[in-house]
Amino acid sequence: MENIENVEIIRVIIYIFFAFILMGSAVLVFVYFSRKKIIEQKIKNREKEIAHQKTLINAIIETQEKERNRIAQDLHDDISSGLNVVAINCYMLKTPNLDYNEQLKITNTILELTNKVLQSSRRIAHDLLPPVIDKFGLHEGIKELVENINNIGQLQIKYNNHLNFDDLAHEKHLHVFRILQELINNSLKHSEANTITIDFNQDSDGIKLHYSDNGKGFDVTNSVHKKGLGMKNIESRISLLQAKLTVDSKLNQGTHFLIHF
Amino acid sequence: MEKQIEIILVDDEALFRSGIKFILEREPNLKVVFEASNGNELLNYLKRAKRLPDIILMDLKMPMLNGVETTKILNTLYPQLKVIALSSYDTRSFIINMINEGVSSYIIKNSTPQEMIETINKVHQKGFYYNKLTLKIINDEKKNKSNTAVKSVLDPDFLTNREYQILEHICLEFNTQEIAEKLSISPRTIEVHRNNLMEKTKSKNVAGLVVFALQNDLISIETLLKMS
Repeated sequence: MENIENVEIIRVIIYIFFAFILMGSAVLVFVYFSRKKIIEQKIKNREKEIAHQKTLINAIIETQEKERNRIAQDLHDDISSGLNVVAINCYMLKTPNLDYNEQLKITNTILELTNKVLQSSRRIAHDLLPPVIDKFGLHEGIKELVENINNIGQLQIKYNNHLNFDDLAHEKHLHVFRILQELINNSLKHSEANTITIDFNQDSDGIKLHYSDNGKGFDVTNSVHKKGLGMKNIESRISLLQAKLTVDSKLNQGTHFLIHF
Repeated sequence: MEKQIEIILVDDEALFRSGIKFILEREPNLKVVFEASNGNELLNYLKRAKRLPDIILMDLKMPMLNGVETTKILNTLYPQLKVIALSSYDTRSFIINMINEGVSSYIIKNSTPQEMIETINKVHQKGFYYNKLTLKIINDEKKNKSNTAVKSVLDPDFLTNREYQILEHICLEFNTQEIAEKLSISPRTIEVHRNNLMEKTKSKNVAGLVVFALQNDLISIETLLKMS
């Protein structure tokens, strides 16, 4: 009897033992597969991120090339051609037997042209980088930008600033300026708005830039709007600023951008 | 008085045109008969013109119809017109591109008036005028060219001795009269030979002959450079 009981106990123990092993391996297999899934998910996310970075880099390069192209055009059209005519007129001055009136006429042309070329070179330099930012900081730069746009008259911009940009790292100033330029450009081109407000304020969370226009807005869920070069540029600047962008817009209800950094 | 050389200026910059006109017309033998601000204006003028001009000074970068396209059209409509490219571009690809379109000369816009006047006179007299830079660029270009044409050149029957002699004299900037005197044959014969040369080398003008001779080693660049 005892023997049989012992055998029974041993058998039960063996069953339990196997049951444990089975359960254990089931757990292991489960952990293995779920981890694999998590890692796969992570890889997928990374790949997405990399693809996104690539589109941003492409956007940066594309913009750079466009800019270069424009600058080359400007230099050729405004500077080279201008100087060519100045040179021709100087040769004209050198021709013998000119009367006083001819001399006066040629000299005036040279002066006029020199002024035009000077203006163009100033404009080209200004387009590249408004000197005011470098000399007087972001606040003055934005003020100038706003003033220039307001003078055109297509729309009016209200600019409020409650903080001191000196606290903001200097290399960030240009990014903020370019983002604003791009946003204003978008509003001018697409929104049909007549008012834009730009508002900077700071709380315990950090700096907040509110930008809104009262234009026709757009459908934020429609990815067409994200694909524009301008928007990609804004995105890449935002990632350089390590900021966060929230876009809020509905058709016919204006657009609001919040940049938090 | 000798007949004036009639010139058309094609450039989109009005002030540049009037400057060039002023300078050219100080020369008693030069006359600007028309100014166009792009290729279309030129073509419209030529369509109506009773007489073709002798020389066209052609800018490259123009709105509507640029200098390269205009020159292509001129090649088919008025192959006898002599075109001088006048551009602010001075790089190899621009120059060789225009040379391949058969322009008689290529000068850059900041050339001195003397250079411009000399170029116009030479092109009018000899049919072409290439400065050192342009000659070098034409010469260098042969290295990049496929040698389909070269095969026929190596053929001993490609050019007769007489033709070769005349080609050489053309490259050295002698005009028909001068070649006739030097080789003691009639100017009429020279012209026949010259037409045969253009036929054989598929050149549309004398300028094309020079480019062909240079690119196929029928004449050396040193010989041409020594001369200019």
